[in-house]
Amino acid sequence: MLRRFGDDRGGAATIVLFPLFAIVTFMFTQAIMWQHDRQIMSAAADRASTAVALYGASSGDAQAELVDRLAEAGIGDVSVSISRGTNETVVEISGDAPGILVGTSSRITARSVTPTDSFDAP
Amino acid sequence: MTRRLGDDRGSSDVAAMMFIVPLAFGAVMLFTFVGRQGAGAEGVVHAAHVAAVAASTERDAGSAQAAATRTAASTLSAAGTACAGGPSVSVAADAWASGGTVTVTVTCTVATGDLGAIDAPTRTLTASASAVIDTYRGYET
Repeated sequence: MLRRFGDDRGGAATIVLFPLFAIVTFMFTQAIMWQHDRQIMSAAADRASTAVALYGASSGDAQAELVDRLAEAGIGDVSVSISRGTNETVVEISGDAPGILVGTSSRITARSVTPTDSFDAP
Repeated sequence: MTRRLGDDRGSSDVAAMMFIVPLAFGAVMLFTFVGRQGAGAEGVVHAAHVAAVAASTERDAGSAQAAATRTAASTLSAAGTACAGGPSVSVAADAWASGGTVTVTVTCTVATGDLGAIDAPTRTLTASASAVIDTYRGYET
């Protein structure tokens, strides 16, 4: 079974499978990073909404705290919206989570709702 | 370059493809499964905290239970956590009186019905939180 020079049967393994495997591995790692950042943002939004809805923090203070925390976690271009209604307080944040490749990022949004503390007449 | 009948050179590539593609789909589903657990855990902790505070500001045990259940369900659904059969909320207190401590436990079975392809097991998440029953509020037992 003589193989001639230039015979590239079996080459698919190298030119298709290896890149495919590399891409899948890359995407999986990227997805785990994305998930981690999503959880950080969700936890931050929860804390902010409880602070504003239940413990009398001002929206401004909560917003400043959020921006600081998320910057520490490496999330850039954070935008925060806090609305304290009579029934519920809604905090929505979004920010850019860095990707594995330098210069790439993905936008992540988190939302947290807490019923606003109020005095109920007996 | 004639190929003889029965020549199977290169067919391992096809076999590998048939193996790798389902594996990639499996990886995506596994990621969804694990991600949902993580997001759900955070949501349940938040819901328990909020429900405990809601229960602590009611004026009797029945209303406390109702308020905690309502609050936990609305908080979880606002955060996008789907619990199979809805969250279950239990409320207990060391004393149903002003100054007592009310503890709320939220249990959520994370929905995995759409991940049947990887035979995702059901996972139950639980979180409890306590709050002091409002000291300045009239209380009936």
